[in-house]
This record gives sequence, C-alpha cells and structure tokens, in this order.
Amino acid sequence: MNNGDVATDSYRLEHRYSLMRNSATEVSRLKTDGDFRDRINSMIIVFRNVQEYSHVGVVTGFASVNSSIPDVFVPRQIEEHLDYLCSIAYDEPFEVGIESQFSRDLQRLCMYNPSAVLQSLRTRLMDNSTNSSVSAEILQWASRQEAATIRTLVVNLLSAGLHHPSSLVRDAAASGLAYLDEDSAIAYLRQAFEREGIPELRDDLEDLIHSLET
Amino acid sequence: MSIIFRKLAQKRHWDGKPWTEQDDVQADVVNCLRTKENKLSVFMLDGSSSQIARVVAALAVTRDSIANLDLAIAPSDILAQCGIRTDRAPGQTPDPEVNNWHQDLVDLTILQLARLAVAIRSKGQIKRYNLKKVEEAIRLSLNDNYIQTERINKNLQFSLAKRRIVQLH
Repeated sequence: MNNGDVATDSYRLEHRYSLMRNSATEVSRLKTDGDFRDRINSMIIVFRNVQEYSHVGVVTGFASVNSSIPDVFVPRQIEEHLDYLCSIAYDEPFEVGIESQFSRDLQRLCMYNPSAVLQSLRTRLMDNSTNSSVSAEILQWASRQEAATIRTLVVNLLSAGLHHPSSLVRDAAASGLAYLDEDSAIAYLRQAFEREGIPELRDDLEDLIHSLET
Repeated sequence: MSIIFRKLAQKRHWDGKPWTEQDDVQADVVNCLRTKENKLSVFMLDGSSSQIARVVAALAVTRDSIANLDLAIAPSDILAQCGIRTDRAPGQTPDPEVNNWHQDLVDLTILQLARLAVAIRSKGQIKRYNLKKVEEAIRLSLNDNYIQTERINKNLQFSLAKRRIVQLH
C-alpha cells in the first residue's frame, strides 16, 4: 500500500470513526464496504485506548493494526465492539448454513478473547437485548466453534437459547446443539420439546430428537 | 404430479402466528422469497422423494456448513393460478442433472409474490431436512456420483470430512 492510499484510507477512516464516536445511532447507520469494515473493526479496538484522536494517530494506528494485534482485550472493549457489530448486523439478511459478514466479524473478535465474547453473548441472549434474527445467527455461529477450551461456554450459550422468547432463537439453539453432537444435547432437546408451545417447532424438535437417537 | 421446490431461508417465518388469518402468512416470508431482477429461483420436480433428496443434497453442498435445509414444495399449478410465468434457466449446483430441473419465475410483481406465498402455505408443504437428513442426502448423492467431492464448497469439505462423509486428499 503506498502513501497515497494510506492518506485516502486514513481520511475516510477518520471521518467514519468520528461518526462512531459521536453516537450509537450514527454507528447503526454507518455503511461500509467489507474492506473498510475489517479495518474499522480492528481500529475500534485499538483506538479505545487512544485519548487524543488525530490524523497522525489514524495513520500510525493503521500501521500498527496491520503489523501487530493485541493479544487480549478487556471485557469492556468486547462489549463496545459487540454493541457495534450487533447494531450493524440488524439489516444483514441471514440464511442458515451460509456464513454471514456478522459471523465473520464475531469470529475475528473471538480470536482475541473467546471467553469474554461468549459470556457477553450469553448475557445479551438472556436479557433479550439483541434482535432475534441476530441472536439466532449468533447461535448458529457459536455452534460452529470447535475449540475444546470453550466448548462448555458454547453449550451454555445454546442451552440458554432454548429458553428464549423467540421461536427463531429456540430453533437456532436446538439446531446448534444437534450440530455439536454433544451427549447432553438430547436431554436439553427433550426438555425443550416438552416446553414448546408452537406446533411447527415442536414437530421439528421431535423430528430432530428422533434423528439424533437413531 | 409436478411440483415446485423452493429452498427457504428460514422455516420459522412460515409458522402460524396469533395475528395471521388462516389463509395468510407472516410478512417475514418475503425473506424466503427474495427476488433478483424480479426473478425467483425454483426447481420443477416430478414429486418423488428421491428427486427432492437429490436437490437437497445439491443445494446443501453449496453452503458453508452443514445445517438444516428448509424447503417449500407445492403443486406446480399454483403458478398458473398466481399468474406467474417461468423460464428455463440452468441451476448453479454441483449436480448437473439437478441444474436441468432449475427454472426461474420471471417478471414477478409484489402481488404475485404475495399470492405465491399464500398458495404455498395453503396448498403446499413447508418441510425441513434436519442436519442428519441433510448429511444422509449428501452421502447418497456422493455414493451415486451425482456430486463430485471437488465441486463441494471448500468451507464445507473439511466439515464433511470430519463427519466422514467425504475423504480429502
């Protein structure tokens, strides 16, 4: 990348980042292409620690993001970043089995502090503060996490999802548990089946349990 | 009897709700009937379960991960009832024969889409191939050489290999 590109990119990033600092509403309306989104995602994390925002800071930060990534982010930064990601995910059309930009963003964030991310996501699920489509996508993403170190957190998140007020989220939680192929999944799914009030979802749960048992 | 087959983004959008009348559907079904240039992708089948399974497998291997596949099937005569035209257009799956069954619903209007949604709900079926059934459908299509492993979505190949559905070299 030559200096001209950095200057242009830096100007755009500076402008967009100033919007983000000003209001959450601006953040939710912010439209970025995938390339800038990746950079902004990284820079939000970096610049939370920068008191004085400046053009030089942008260029410096940009370079530092490209060359080194902090190993661990404190939970407060995770929360702020998840706020941003969930707000912009609202308009993304999700489809089961298709990786979304939102899930890619979550994956990137999870690299830094997976436990904090999963715990925060569970809190958001339990307090119903996140849109149900986004919550369902979170559960689909979570079920695809293979690291053994976070398996318990993933199962906790999915089992919490079985109690969500939205049938979309309960469905995603059930499908996620089935994907994990955990021994405990059938027990969770049976309890969910007993509780389920929506006939179509109840049928799907019964069918799923039957498939897992055979 | 000839049927139309449409992959759905989310089966839950088709569930009855307290505010939906008997012959109506949630507004969110539009997420399952997203048009591009006023066209909608469907498959025209003979109605056999083997054909349905083959289409399920062909669609499933284009995705990034193994997951439920939700679908709608309905008698093809609902298209005429809704005033909808079709055009032959080859599909984009790894199964060449399935691609021959693909058609586009064309020159669609919002009224036609609404009628189609209601017709699917009242005269068709909303079904789900769950995870295990999708795996089985993929396995069958691979065993019968309908799909070649190398044409499967790269993101999916590793997942299928871990489940011993394919072998990677």
